[in-house]
Amino acid sequence: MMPALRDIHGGADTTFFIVVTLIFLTLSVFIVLMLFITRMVKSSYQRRAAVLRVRCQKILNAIVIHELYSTAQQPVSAFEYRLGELRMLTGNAGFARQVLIDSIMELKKNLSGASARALTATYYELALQRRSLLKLKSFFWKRRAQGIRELSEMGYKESIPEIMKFLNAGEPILRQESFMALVRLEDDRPLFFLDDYRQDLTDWMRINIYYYLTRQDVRKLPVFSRWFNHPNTSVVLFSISMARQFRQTESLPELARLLSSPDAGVVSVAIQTLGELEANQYVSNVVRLTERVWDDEKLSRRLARCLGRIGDAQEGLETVVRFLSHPAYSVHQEAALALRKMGPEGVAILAQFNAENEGVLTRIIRHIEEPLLQ
Amino acid sequence: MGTGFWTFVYLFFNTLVFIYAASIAVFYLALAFLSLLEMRRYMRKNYFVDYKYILSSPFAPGVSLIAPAYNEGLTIIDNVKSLLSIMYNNFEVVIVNDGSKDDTLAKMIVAFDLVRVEFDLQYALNTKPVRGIYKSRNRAFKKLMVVDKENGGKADALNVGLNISRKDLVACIDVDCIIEPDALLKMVKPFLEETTEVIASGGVVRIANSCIVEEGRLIEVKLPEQRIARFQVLEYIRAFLLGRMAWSRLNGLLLISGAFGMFKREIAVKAGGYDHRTVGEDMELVVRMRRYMHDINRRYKVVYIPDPLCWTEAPSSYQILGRQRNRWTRGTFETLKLHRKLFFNPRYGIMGMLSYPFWFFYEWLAPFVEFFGLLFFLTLASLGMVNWTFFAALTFAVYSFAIFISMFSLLAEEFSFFKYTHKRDILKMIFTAMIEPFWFHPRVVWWALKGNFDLVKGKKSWGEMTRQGFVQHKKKDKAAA
Repeated sequence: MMPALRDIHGGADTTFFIVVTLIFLTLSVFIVLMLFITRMVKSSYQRRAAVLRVRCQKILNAIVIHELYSTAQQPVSAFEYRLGELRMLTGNAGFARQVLIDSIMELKKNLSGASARALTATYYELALQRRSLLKLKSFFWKRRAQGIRELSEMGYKESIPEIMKFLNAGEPILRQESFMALVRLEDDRPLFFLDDYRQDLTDWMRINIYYYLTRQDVRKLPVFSRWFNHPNTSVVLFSISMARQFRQTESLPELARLLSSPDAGVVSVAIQTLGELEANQYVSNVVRLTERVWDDEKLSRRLARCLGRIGDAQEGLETVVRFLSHPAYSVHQEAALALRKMGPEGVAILAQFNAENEGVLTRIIRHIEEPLLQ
Repeated sequence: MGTGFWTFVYLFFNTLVFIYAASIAVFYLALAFLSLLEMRRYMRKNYFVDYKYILSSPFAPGVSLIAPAYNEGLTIIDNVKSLLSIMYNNFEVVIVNDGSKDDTLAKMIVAFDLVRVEFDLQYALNTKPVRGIYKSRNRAFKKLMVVDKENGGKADALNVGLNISRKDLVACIDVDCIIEPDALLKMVKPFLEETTEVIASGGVVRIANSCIVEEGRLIEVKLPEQRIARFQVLEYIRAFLLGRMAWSRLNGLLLISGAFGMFKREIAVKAGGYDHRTVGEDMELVVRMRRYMHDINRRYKVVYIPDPLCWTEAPSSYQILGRQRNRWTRGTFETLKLHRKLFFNPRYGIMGMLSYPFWFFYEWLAPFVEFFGLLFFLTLASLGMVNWTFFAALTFAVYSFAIFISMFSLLAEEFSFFKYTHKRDILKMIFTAMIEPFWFHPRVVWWALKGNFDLVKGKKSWGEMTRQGFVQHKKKDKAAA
């Protein structure tokens, strides 16, 4: 029996495993080589980039602080002289020019006014926009996105038609970058392209757009209510939140109309915005929603909070008191808070309700009155 | 019973083990490939990201950092200060003192000028009673809230944190971990950018042994000096960069490390919070949240990001490491048992058809297969029934595969985050990968078997986990200076 079992695995099985071993060992050795080569290349690249960056930055610093340069032998302007230095430093080498672009962008991020303008001028004088434009024709989306980012950072408005082509690109990051670039470049009519925007506008994009919009002249911002009836719900939600952040009270009538929207998300943001914009004139519209939102905890909470801001003894108070008996704890806590915000009358009613209901709200009242929890 | 019978038994057993081994190899190769794709996508996607936009945005979601603390008196002040200095605007830090027997609470009260407040706590999740909730009178610590409760274990403490939190997202962390300053910004991003609802996100946990740490901040990353810690570095790189990234791409992730994970509070509470009956509460919560989403028919995602966001001190003795692995094994089995309904259940999609069976066959069952395979081999060897040429070929094939996977994970690390920058580190890691299958792996198998044995005996405890602590490292450095 024993020899039979021992001989079950013949030469073919053994050969198979030897081949497997050789394949994996070869691949492992290949990976080890790659590890070393990558590390060497990476280190060398980083060293070269670091040296170039330091040299570029020295010259850029001189440009930014408008360092003067003039001698009898070289009667050129300081700016021209520095540009000459940069041309000599980078030559036509793609790597060096890219390091220069990165340095300009990095420096410009933290500057404004004349210094930022000097950097932008450097970019154009060295015709670096050509390199950025060339990237838009690249096969790789990452490179295209990089080009878009550079052109928008440097305010190259001539690139708008090119960038617009990527608004509906398949790659979401490319789409997003072109979207952001247009927000920045079209400062006279930012967000015009929202009219035809069909993709999802995510919270991440909202954060980015808001960041850029805050850096623009508020007077040039569009009235966001123009998109309140947009077929794309994500655009509607975005516009409402922007109207809130930029306190566009002219959007209030349109906003009040949105309270009847069939979309719960839209209603929720509309209620929140009416509260934050202190739209007291629409308190009755909000009160009318009570029955509709009662079964939705989140909406009920938002409504109670909104009434705390815009309601008063005549209107809203009764509804808020009703919310004190809502089955969800978070809603009656919000209602108690709202009553407190409504002033002495609200506080008195809250105390009365608590007394009439065997102190059911005592702990909530203590909580909302605790100064360290505000 | 004649030769024919034994040949049949032998061939049957061999074929079964071969199928098992071949399938596990195919799975690992596929996961490695998927991980690489996912990581490439992540790196490209985030090339343009400027996280400061989240930092200054009114649209950034609120985050509660929940950190349970038990007998952490030695390091608690440094740890809390480190958490409070995280870069994020809309966040609060909730430290849950889980009935510590030392001076953890007393130290925090003095250091942060804490006073008891009238907090109306709702027990949405059942927990041990809360003895008091404290806030600081010092405005500099206004984001801090300390909860003192009766001892109930880590899961119970985390549930108290979930009850107290009022933010949309909760980040559950181990208080003794070092969190990167921009960790919350990076963890929050998937919740903002995905069009499908994200219910949880996890980040890579790295080993901080031998790293230079000052006042809860990681100053310099170094490869651990101890071999045992280096084995764990390799294991963590393999698990996080090769395993979980692939599962994230497949949306089949079952585990987000308890050391640092972020969850949608609403879903975590509705799913029932952490289960204190298991020692693998981190995995169990993710599985239950996923099940909940399937049960209510809501599309969702659980995502993983490859950035090293959290640094932890790995066990530096085989005894303590053994206890940790013992607990992990018990936790895995308890979770698999609790959710056995998922096993090849198409109703739960990838989770039921792929993730759960993978965990069952290749995570929980693997130590048994290895151990009994070894026993079978020893029996055959003692009976003189081994074809040694074949044995040598098979052993080398398995070894070369193990080396390949480790090298692949090192390459993934090199292409992505490049944390160990010293030239010697790479050589040390290659050497570690070469000796790991003989030196370290057999112990891991043994601890897993012991964990299963303890499970049968009904062991429920965590096992004592003593740590050297980063502060000691700092003191050592100062003393040397």
